[in-house]
Amino acid sequence: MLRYFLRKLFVYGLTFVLAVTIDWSIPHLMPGNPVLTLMGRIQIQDPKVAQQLYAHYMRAFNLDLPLWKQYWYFWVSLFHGDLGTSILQFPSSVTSIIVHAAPYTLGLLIPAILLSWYAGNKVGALAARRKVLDNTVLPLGYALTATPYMWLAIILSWTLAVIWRVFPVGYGYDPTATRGFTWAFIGSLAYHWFLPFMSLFLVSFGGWAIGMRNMIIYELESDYAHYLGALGAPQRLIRKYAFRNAMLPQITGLALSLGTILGGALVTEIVFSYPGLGYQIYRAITNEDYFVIQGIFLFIIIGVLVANFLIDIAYLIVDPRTRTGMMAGGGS
Amino acid sequence: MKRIWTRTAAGLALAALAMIVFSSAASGSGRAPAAGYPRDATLITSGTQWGNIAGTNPYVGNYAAGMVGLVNETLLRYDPIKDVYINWLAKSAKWTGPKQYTLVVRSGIKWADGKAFTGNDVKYNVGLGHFNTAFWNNLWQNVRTIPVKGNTVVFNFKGTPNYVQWQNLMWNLPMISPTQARPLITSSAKLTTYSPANPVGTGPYKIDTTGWDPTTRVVFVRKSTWWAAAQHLSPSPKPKYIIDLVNTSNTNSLNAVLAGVEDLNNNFLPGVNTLVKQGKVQTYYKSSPYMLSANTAWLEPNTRVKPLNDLYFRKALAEALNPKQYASVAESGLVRTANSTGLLPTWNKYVNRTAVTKYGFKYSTSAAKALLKAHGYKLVGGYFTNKDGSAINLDISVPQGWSDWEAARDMIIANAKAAGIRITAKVKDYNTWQSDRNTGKFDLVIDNAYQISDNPWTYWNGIFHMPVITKGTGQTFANFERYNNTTAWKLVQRLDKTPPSQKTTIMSINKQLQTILMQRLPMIPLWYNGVWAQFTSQHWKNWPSSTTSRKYMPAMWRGYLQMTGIDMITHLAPR
Amino acid sequence: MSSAPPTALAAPADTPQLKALGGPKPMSSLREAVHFALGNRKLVFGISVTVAMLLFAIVGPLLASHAPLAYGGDLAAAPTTHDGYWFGTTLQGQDVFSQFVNGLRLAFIVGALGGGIAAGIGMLVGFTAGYRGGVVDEVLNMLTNVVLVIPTFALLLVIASYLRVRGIMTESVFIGFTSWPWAARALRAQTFSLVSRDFVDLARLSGRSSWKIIFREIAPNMSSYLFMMFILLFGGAILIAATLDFIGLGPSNTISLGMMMQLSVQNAALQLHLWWWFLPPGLAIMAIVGSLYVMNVGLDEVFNPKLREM
Repeated sequence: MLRYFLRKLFVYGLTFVLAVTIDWSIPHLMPGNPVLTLMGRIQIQDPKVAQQLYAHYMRAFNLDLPLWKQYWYFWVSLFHGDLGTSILQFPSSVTSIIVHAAPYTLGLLIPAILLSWYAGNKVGALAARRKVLDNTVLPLGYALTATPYMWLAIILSWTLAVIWRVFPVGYGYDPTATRGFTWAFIGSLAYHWFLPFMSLFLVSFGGWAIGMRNMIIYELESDYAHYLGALGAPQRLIRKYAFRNAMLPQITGLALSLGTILGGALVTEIVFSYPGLGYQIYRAITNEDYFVIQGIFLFIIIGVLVANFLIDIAYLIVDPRTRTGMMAGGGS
Repeated sequence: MKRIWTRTAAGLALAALAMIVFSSAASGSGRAPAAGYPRDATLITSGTQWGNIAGTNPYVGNYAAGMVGLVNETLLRYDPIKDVYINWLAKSAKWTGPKQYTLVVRSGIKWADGKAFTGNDVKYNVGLGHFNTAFWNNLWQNVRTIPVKGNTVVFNFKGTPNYVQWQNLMWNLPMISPTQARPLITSSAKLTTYSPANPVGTGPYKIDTTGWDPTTRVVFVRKSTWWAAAQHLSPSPKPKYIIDLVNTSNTNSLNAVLAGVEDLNNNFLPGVNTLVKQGKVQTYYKSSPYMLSANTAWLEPNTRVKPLNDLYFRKALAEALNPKQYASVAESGLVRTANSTGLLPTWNKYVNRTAVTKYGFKYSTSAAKALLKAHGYKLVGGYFTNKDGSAINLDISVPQGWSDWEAARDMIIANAKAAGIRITAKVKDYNTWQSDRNTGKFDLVIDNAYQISDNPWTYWNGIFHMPVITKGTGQTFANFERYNNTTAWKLVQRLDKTPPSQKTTIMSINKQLQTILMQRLPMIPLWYNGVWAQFTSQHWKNWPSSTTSRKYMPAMWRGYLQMTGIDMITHLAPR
Repeated sequence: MSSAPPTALAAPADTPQLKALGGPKPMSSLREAVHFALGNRKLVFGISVTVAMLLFAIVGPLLASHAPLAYGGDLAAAPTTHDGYWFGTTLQGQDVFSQFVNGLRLAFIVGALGGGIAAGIGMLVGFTAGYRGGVVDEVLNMLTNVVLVIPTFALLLVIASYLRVRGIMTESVFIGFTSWPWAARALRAQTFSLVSRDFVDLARLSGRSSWKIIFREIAPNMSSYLFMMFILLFGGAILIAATLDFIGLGPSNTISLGMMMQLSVQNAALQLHLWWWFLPPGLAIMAIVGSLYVMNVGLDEVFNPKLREM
């Protein structure tokens, strides 16, 4: 057991280092120089002063060092919990930007992932081999999962927010709301959260429902299901077993689709002007804000790794075969 | 077992939601109204701030929109529509000698902390220029002494003052409270990072720190008294609160305006002309061009690149272009086409009409082709080649995502193609576009670096500034086309050093400069970008309009409130 | 990025799906397959829609009377038979029909190339990992994990902004290079279970090279599976491309469906009620990708008799 976990941890650690290295290297390989943007904003008229200041900022951001040194300092400050300073939003720190934006993204993503997965599996399982449900859920599922996230989001926003004005047009809460632990404010947050959540939920829901429906049909047509049927086991029981077995690939699928949903969240946030990480990273990338790009990537990498780890454990618990296999492996 | 999973999942989802509540509600413990800012007493604006609000530093150029004007005021203001200066914190300000500028501070003005605003405060603020990170450091270096006597501040200069730049500084330098700033701004670096949560100013509003949310908005709350209203220089502003929202996308902006979430939006929103006709939004003019002009958009050739270093090639290129199409189609008819000098309508009095007729360029594909043929370019397979026979393929770029400019770029490519000039689009995000422009890694860009101001000197300086820096930062604020013309640069410097009383000299320099521009074409002026402003009267009425006496700049953009943006706000009335 | 959760194919080795696929082909004859294929409504529907769109993409550009990026039509005009503006014009007077068919063509190119590259890498990694096992498997698994963990979409943003003149090829290549992990994982699992089968052992004993065994023995036994995987990657690539283009990172000097969406939204097509500009690109993507997915399930049912509708 312990050996298994240590091995897993080692693999995760190595993955982390590799991913972070890629994370660091990419903005540094980008063309253009972010300090020049900062310079453009300060509008120094005296060329001598401009050169001095330019040198000052290059030093301040460590951009005058050779790449390997920049890489080394990146890790050093990372272990000091320092993610650097934003260039675009100078002098805000990257940490403060993430702290402000991350809750919105997590609050959107985690419920959307879990609920769509849960509801999709339930509905998919119900629909399998049931004519009426299958004929409605299946086409709907295909339509939803084949829809570009942003297109659905735009239609939702246009019809529900602008034409019928049932929902707000954007932002995390009503611009006139006073922030505080009041029901009015929590209501405002929920109200603004709903549409972006819904558009993420709907697209993923379609995928899960189809996946589950197909898996259940596989299971229902398998030898053991037929055997159970021949033995006279009630249909309900057979479906229950089928559902359990079909669950495993769906859990694996969850781990595989995290990146996909993350990308979806990014676009959804842009469409709904939702103040989360997606919008921040989009701004940072289009403005070459190195440290913000790195910081948010790092946050996402850690998030995906943790989620993967949790899913690994969940798989372990749900599937008794892996458990015994692992024990045997651990004992050898 | 299964129930545990369901519960864990539900718990996780709830926890994530709770996180939003906690993080965004966290700072909410102040004197702000519990039920939210009442909409009928709140003006909501947007269109200036893109991305998170970085703070309140008034010098780095990305302070919370509205701060300069609403909180921190300037000594003078400038009305670009009437072309007059407005004495503001200063009761009077004028040149009292060839090397002396005298400024008298209005009495009865108080900082938000109750202290009186004095001549010494002015001295402190201008004196911050001794830090080399201050944008007016070059001007400060020419100041010899600043004797202050009560409310009178005298600036004595070492050499001939930069009359134009100095005057410009007087209406652009925000006055910050020395009491608040002195302990914090102690070095050049600190000047750029100074960012108090609640800046103390003399203006009609202060920042409501409980409403501050860098991802979403800045909230201003009206002060109980404001000197300008007390002294009957301005109506007292009606909105109790002003909220400036962070901008995320054009689409969201337009939706927000249509849904009545925002009262004023200062973005370029294509198709607004149609919505104006449908009565859904209002603009400054009721018909084309709908918007006032804010800056000149031009085609910037890199004059150090072959064949753009050839004057005749640039002239042919200019004649190949059809700015009318760019203005009416790419810009939805929301802008005016530029005349060949590119001088903004505000500067009409400086334009030499006869020179424009004589030297200006007109759209004519055949003339462009004829010019190229006459100067040794050869037409091979539909495209001209260089005189030495090598192929010409110029790149052009605009900041990615500026859809109107992208459309104009495509039209330029098509126009040039018709005249046998091959141009290809290159995609660059804003930052890359800017650094490539600054360091000279481009052939052609569309650019609009210089805003409207009180003097065309800013425009000429932008075009002719020398020397051209090729190392390090490259060109940071001017002459991106890398044009070398010592005569023109000397004229620009002379204009800066000509006292405002010498009107004929000023006029003559301006005329010479525009003739040089049109004859040598370091830039090809295309159209005047607008002061994008669309507003509705769902909550506030009496917006600026060309047909009323309220001829004000309808913009919250940085630098625009001290023009006449603040007058827009003080003249609004609840609906 | 909005590729579909690939659960239907990403099943680990121990699911019944594989049992139906593994070993010598269950399919008795080609005629039988064709018979079932024609009788499968999902497959027929999927194929007809896909082929119809494909034909439209091939023939459409020939019918367009204006270049996709040319200006000159009436501004924001509704669909009309006049002058070939069958789908109306954009706010700037461009021909929506011409843009649409051009975008359709690009969508198929991106799907084929992006999906093809992803399938290629997925096969290379999946087969090698599954066949070799051991350290090779561990290393490849790590590689797969890294690609899964890195926010690939954001990575695409960075790479896309790096490229000055972007073409449909580069876009396809980087979509291909980032969307293969699930395919690799699925193939690895499938290969694992096939490697221990008798016919593979036999091949090994006869001393044939690993690659020969993989391509002669293992791959053919998964051909239907591989084809279905390619279909999903194809659809996924189209969706990813649409998202990238929507954010403004599309190919330069041409127009795709995603770019049409982006431009229509940026130019207030909805607010100005220019539905003919906003709706077609989204509907087309939905139709292509949706019919591909339906086709996938149909194929599954044809290859795997047990799944057929009763």
